Amino acid sequence: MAAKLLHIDNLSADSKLKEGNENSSGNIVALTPSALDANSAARAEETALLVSLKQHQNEQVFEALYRRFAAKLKSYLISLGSSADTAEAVVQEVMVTVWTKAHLFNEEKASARTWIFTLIRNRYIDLKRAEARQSNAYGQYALSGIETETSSDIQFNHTAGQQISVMLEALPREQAEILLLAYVEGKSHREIAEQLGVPIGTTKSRLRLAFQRLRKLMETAQ
Amino acid sequence: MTPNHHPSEAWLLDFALGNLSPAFETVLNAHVGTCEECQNNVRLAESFGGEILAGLPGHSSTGDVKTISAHLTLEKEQENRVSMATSRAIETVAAESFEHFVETYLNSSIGALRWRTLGRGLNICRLSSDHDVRLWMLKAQAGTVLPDHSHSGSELTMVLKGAYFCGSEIFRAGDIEDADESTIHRPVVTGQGECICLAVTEGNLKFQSWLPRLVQPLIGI
Repeated sequence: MAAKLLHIDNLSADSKLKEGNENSSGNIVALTPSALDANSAARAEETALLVSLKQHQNEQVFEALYRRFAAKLKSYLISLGSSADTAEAVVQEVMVTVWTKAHLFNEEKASARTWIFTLIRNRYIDLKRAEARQSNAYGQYALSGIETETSSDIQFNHTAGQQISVMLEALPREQAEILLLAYVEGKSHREIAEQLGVPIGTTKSRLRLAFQRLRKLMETAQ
Repeated sequence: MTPNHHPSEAWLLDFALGNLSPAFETVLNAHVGTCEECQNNVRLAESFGGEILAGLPGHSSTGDVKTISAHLTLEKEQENRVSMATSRAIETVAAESFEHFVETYLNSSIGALRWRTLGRGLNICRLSSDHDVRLWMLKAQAGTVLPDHSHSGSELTMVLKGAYFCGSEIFRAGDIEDADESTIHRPVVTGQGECICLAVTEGNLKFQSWLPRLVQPLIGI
């Protein structure tokens, strides 16, 4: 089944220390401002590119967006269990959509990365539904379209140069771990509770705290 | 109708990411459609998805942009398969009434529902069953006391009409009661009229007393 994609052990040791702070002031604890600033700058650049594409349909602008997102989109699908071939085809489809539907992007409602995330997420849901239909029809579980490959080339760790998201670092490890499994491995909160051997109620309360903190982080970020 | 009881963030995250089975998805859809607070949480989960995506390491082999550029003009003319719904929060349809829910989500009408009697004042209609996940409609007369029960998995109950008490809490139309194996509850319908709920259960309910346990195999609840 799911490849060992998450190397959560590498979450920075000091994120463990932050657990004690989560209920106190409610403020976001010590993230290096430069990392957050760099992330905000990158987010703003992507959005500016998409706005420019929307206005001018310029191929150079499209290529810049492609370079920023295509390889990440492919990683995302593979980590969710797609075969490399399916992932490649879907990434192409989604990037074509970015080009043809850029006029529907509303920069006041979402950043470019969120808009592109929702496109790939929608396609992923379609694929899963098609897979479920096929599975019901043939009484099979293993399918041709989506197939997990063991991939060792996607390894996440929290060293300075290779973070999943600087925002995850603001969360206690126990919350970040659940979010990673949900976003990157496509697991439901019940599957995550079972995998981690944690009661379902604990999983829910960790996610409640994670949402509180994410809300603050995203407000600061926008 | 502004709901006062919501599914936990864990459910909203699963909903935003498409990590739910169809029966749970139906209940979440019906609630999120009516609930601005949950819509905001779904949007939050989606915004954070953008952050996660942007932070992923790129896959080492991705098709060259030149190959895709060659197809752009062609593809532009074709219908694209990618859904453009930018948020699952706005894809939902508010279930404004019981009748509306049945029409919108079940593509059926009230008269077509097949009710079975589960006890005095209590009727039940099974809408779907997939492995151990079942979607139900429950209809209870005013004042009905449901048997004490706990769960062997998750249970989400959404009130479509009327209201019920559970301990000191009251659940009204649009509200969700989020229960799991750590919950034991005994819902009591208020005295003001019948109560109709949509419920999704995972595994069998665990009744505390012998009578419901006796009829349980007959009903399949």
